[in-house]
Amino acid sequence: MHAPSRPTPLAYDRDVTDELVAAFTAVWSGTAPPELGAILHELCTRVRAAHPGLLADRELVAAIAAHAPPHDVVAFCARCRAPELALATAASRGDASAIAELEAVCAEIVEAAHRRFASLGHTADDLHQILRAKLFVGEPAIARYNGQGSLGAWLRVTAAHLFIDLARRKDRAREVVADPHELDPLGATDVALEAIKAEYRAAVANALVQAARDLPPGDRHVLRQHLVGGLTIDQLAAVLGIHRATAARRIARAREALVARARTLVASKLALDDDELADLFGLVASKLDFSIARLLATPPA
Amino acid sequence: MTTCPDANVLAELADDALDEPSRAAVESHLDDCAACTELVATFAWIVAPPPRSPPGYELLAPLGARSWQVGDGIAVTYGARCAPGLVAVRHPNLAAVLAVGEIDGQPYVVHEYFARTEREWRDVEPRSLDEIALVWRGVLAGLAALHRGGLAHGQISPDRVFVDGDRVVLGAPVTELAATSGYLAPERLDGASASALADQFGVCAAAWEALAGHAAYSGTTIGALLVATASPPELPERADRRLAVLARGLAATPRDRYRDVDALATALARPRRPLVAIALVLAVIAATALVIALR
Repeated sequence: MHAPSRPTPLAYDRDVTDELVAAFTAVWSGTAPPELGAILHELCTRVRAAHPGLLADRELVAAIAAHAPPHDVVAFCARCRAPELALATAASRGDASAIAELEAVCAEIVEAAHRRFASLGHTADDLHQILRAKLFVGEPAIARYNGQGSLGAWLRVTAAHLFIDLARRKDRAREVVADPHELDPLGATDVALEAIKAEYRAAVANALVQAARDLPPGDRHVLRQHLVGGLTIDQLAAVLGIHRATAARRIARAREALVARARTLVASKLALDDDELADLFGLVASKLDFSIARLLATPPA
Repeated sequence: MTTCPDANVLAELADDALDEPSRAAVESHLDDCAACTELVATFAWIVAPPPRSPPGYELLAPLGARSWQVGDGIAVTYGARCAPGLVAVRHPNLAAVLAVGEIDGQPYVVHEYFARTEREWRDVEPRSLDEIALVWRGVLAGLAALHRGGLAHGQISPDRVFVDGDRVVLGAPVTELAATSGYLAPERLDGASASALADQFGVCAAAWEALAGHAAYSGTTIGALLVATASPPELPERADRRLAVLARGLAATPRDRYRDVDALATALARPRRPLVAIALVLAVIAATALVIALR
């Protein structure tokens, strides 16, 4: 339907690529750029190699089109993890072999998750059933996977979401009320703040809270996950898609920035000389993780 | 607040497939969203589950990269080892090791932990030399118990000594912790393994710092420390008597130190007795005079 502005590679059959573009634009509303046909052809070839006979080319193209944004469609298609999207699409249509392959991943997920959700009173088998129903039955959630990130990561996020919802419903049923003392940043069990003279305590706590707010975007989250959630450097690196060295550096830098900023804030509030300030923050810094953990424990609503 | 990222976006974040502006937008959303914080934490748990808790314990809160609180004042440290005999050594001045084992191929140690180091205890308010000396005699008692059990500590430093209320405790020797070089005996800097006499050097270096108000040795390289520890630190003018006792424990040659930490503790505790010395001198003079008179 569109005459390519530059010669199509000889390997592609013009009729075939035109057909793919037609299947794409049947679902997607926009003006197809000239290179789209070749890109779709390439994606179909990869899927046929990875999963022979799993999904017809037209169906794969329709699935890509269903998730494609109105603009930058070429970049979207170039990033598409076509074999994984094909697997998800086939599973959403009830293909037994695709579902079996994904169920193996679900088993791994449940194996990892069920300890965290042990308090739900569900066995690993129960969780597996619940996850399977969500993904493959009725209006199958697996159809929402858009092929841009890995299917493995998508399945894990989706499972996390599902299990948290389960836990929340159970909590609501029990009407669990959080212990208000736990949320008190000046609580009596704060070792670092406890060591500080009472007159400075509030100023230091407030400065830490303010300093946390002034951290660069994302750093508060990283620090909170590490210090409060107990996520290791490796876990943070995995979920944030960064190298573990980057994760470690980022935590260290955020922690330093937090102390430096808090120190400046305290200096502007209290009339302390450099030595006193150094003493005060020496005390705070040595046990700072406890304080930061408490202060960051509850992100603002 | 921006809308929460869906599973596709979080998967892209994890796979580093987002462009910079999108990544920044997502991360900045995570800063302030409690629901997403919980989701990401659970996601991380599923991606890389933390170690299972030791039998009979439950992981309560993280205490550091590899430690979790598992009870009141009790922590588990993964990737750590200690001498198996340590579980049997119990002394009020020694942090108890409650269990050691291995889970999923990873060693762990369940041990008592304390929040306030001796250094912090001194920082909170001025302490008299007698108070400080009393604390270090407690440390020596804990160390002596360890040595009686046939074990050496190997990592004594001011950061491994805790003052928790009325309790003085020497931290448990757990191998995941690195020994601090400013407190290592010269023979250990030279490659020897931990020993009771090297522990004596370490505890004297740490106690010296507490009593003298400055480190016994300074030096940032092993070479510099080897030079520095070749002779005991110089006694300050009008030094407290106890520093002289510690200086002997800091002898470069192990056999020049006290026989054991009990002997060191006795020497530290011995009050000054000038009258005894004068009486002794007088007795010698009297005896000599008597001998001369009787001749």
